[in-house]
Amino acid sequence: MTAPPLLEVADLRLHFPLGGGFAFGRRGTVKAVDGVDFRLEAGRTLGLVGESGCGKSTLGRAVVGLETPTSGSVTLGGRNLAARSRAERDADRRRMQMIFQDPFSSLNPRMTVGQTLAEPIRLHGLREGPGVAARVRELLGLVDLPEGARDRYPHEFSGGQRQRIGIARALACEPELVVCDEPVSALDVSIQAQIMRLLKRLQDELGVAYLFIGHELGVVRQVSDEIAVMYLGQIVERGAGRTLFREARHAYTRALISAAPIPDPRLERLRRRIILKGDPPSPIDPPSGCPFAGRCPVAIPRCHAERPPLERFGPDHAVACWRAGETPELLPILAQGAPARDGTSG
Amino acid sequence: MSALLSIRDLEVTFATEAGPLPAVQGVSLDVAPGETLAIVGESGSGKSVTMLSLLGLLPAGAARARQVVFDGQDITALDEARLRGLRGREIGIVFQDPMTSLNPVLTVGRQLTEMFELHQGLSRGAARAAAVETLSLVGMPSPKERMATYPHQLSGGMRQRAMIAIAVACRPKLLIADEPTTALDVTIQAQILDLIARIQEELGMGVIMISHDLGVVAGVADRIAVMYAGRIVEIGPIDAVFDAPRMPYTSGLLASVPRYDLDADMPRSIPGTPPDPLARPSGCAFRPRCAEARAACAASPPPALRPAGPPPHEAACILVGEERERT
Repeated sequence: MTAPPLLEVADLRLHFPLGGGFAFGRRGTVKAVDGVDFRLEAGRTLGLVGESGCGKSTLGRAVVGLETPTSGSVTLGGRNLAARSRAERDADRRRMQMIFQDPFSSLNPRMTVGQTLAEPIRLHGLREGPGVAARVRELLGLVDLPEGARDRYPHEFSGGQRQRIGIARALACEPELVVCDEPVSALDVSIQAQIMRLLKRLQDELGVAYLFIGHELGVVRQVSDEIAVMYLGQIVERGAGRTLFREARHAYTRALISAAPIPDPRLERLRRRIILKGDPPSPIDPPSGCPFAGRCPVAIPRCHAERPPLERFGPDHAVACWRAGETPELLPILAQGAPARDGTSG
Repeated sequence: MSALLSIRDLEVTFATEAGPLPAVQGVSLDVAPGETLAIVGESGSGKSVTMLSLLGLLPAGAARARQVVFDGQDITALDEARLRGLRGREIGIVFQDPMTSLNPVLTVGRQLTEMFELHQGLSRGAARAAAVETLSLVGMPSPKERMATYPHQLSGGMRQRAMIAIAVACRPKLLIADEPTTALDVTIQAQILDLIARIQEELGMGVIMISHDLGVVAGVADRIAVMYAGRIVEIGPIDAVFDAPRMPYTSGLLASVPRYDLDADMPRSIPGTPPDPLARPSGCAFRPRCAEARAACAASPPPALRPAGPPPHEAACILVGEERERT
């Protein structure tokens, strides 16, 4: 029998009723996350990709316990988190940490880096006495910050260095899982690569698993073993990190890929953009069929009527699209006659 | 073809408490009618300041240039009133965040009709008709109804369309787009880039696209200028610069973009961070981060742009010209 995965999320839903005093009644429900399932093994990375409002951040926050799910379960190491006692939950929190897009707003400006790092070590009783200071030094070394950083304040650091502090603080708890919410989105591209490489090295050294939330396909592709594409609170496609963007079958994933620019002018001229009409629909009382049906260029009546299940489509690949078998022909991404290049052909 | 815009030796210096801050140093560039020039660089490279200075939107005395010729006219000597006439009528501007550049208390329609009344002297009725027409040009659904909408009632993508409508209302000869899609989702970004390209073709505008996103630039630009620490360090036709970057910063930047379409390894990173503009190193400002730096790189003044391939490809690096290949 195989051991349970590090993290298992089953039929997770986060619904938020909208406003409504007694005089107006309820105005609908925001279905931020609407029936999501996935598993993440220890030491691996699952990338969650999607556009604003698709629910990826809410999902990440629910995993670490910052949001309370409406229904469904989050299971860490085989134990359902909702069923745990208060003391156990505190221990679970240590095992799951989070890093944010803007580390500055998540760091206490009045605490030195050393104090920021020492706090969780003491709080969780991970080291005592001089062991705390030694651990702080070790953490700074792990994220390539100089030892002198210990006595300085967050505002004295650049964006990339602040993100290193955020990472060190998450690691101070010795977590098994780190939810990374757009950790490199606010950084300049040359710094972005530094942080991506750092996260990868830390995973190799410490065996920590990442739930990596992002909107940039290149970033998510490079850090993830597996990728899940979200749209309007649901996972619409899932596949191996190395191949998903090459073999995408959901109409939305294909549109997303076709819209994501590639830093190669010759390749860009060969590409065909699938220009979607309109904006993503609101997650307030979303449509009952496929969440993408309203904007999908190849939707058929069934798409509006019936929600397609996330079904296996070959090894390591699952798609929730009624037309998954035809999308590469229906929605080509390369212009006709163009030579197929790595990863851009359908 | 004669240039639509020609800038020579632009210097922008801000007075700060810590002393004069050189934001832009010795920038020269040309834009031809109908052409798209991309200016790329990271935060603080001076790419946005370059364009703001052109528009006279910087504090008085901050910008100085040997020459700025727009459409045959030297605009360095223009007074504020004449510059204001130029902005909006001849030069349209689109910023990253339309929420801060649109007026929140005026309807989209009012902000558009204002353009026609102010710059073209149209009557209220004629301005209104022109405004509706412009809204449909930018793909705003039901443009007549949208006239009465306030900016906050629009989605991010629709707001950017409204901003573009205002920018192109008077059919400018030049459109300056400063990170026009940075705040937008990628599928909306594709809509907006598509729209700018379509209007550019229709009006024959020159476009200056300021961006940090090399992917966006690859898809839209004819030529590219790469800025680092206030200077243009490489400039040339888009294919030439992407195929054979000659300044180590440019190649480093290209190698640091994570690709989703290739089986490449993790992107390479450039060590260190851009220098503090108040304490830039002598000589080439990229020197401390450059793997190929040598003693001569520290010599002042920093290297000037020099031919780096078939013209008009130029790079500001002392290694250019030596027989060697970079990858």
